[in-house]
Amino acid sequence: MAPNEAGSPAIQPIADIDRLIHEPARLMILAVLYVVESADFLFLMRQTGLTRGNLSSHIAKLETAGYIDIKKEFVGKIPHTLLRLTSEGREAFETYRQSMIGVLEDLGD
Amino acid sequence: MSQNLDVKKVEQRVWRASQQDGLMEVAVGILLVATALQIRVKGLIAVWIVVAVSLAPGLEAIRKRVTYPRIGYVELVQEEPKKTLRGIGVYAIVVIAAMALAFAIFSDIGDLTLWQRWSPTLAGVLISGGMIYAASKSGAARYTVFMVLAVGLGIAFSILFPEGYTGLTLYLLTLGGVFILCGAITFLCFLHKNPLRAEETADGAE
Repeated sequence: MAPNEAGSPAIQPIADIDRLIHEPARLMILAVLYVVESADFLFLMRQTGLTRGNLSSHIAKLETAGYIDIKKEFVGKIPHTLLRLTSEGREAFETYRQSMIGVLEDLGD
Repeated sequence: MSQNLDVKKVEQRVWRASQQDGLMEVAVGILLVATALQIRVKGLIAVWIVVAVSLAPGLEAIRKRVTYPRIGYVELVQEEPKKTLRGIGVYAIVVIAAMALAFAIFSDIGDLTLWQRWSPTLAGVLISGGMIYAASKSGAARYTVFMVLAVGLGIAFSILFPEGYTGLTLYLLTLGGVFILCGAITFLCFLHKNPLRAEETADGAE
């Protein structure tokens, strides 16, 4: 490979992949939220298999990025956290999916 | 990675998870039994309406107390009501038209006894429409089994009970009973598999 091909258009999409979404735990969270209206903390924990602390830290990052919206409330005396994907998060997830499909197709077998 | 990107599979898994308590089957079964009783006992229409109207809020109330504290809450994407009603309407019209065509070809389309006799089959095919939808949404085999059962029992009751609406009444009672039984067993398994843990009642999110 010639040195100047490192930044060739064929592999450039790899560099453009959203690293925030590319992390497996956050990808799982977004994938679940992508197919529902909303889900609570416990449901996400069970669906992703993440621990409480791990899930908390990842949703905090996704919230900071503006990808998810978090609504905190009390059901009786029990704290309840409801999460939903923002339109920005939905768009980012779709872009990520398309990028990954393109990259994997470009890489071939 | 490709598995992570398969949104359809994620959607099906979430749908299955949301329906794993079996309460939807119990609700459908109660509605079928109430319909059977309404056909059999005159004047029960008011009771049927009360049952039909209170099923959804009743189901949600039970889930709030039993299901959500165990597996969490999820709000599935709602289909557009107009689109759903149109889909149900078109499906019902196609099924009834197909049956009418069959009667016209093989017998007399205006013969009421014929419609009465084959009403369990008609009901079975209509109910199977809902099962086809549930099977496509969840990818769960049990809905396919329910679909086959609904149509199979419908044909069997049409053949076994040709007089009046006896076949339809017994069919709805039987299928409703099967739904209630399967749902109740699923619910008990769900409770056994998902005991309520104190630490899971609070989500503990930062």
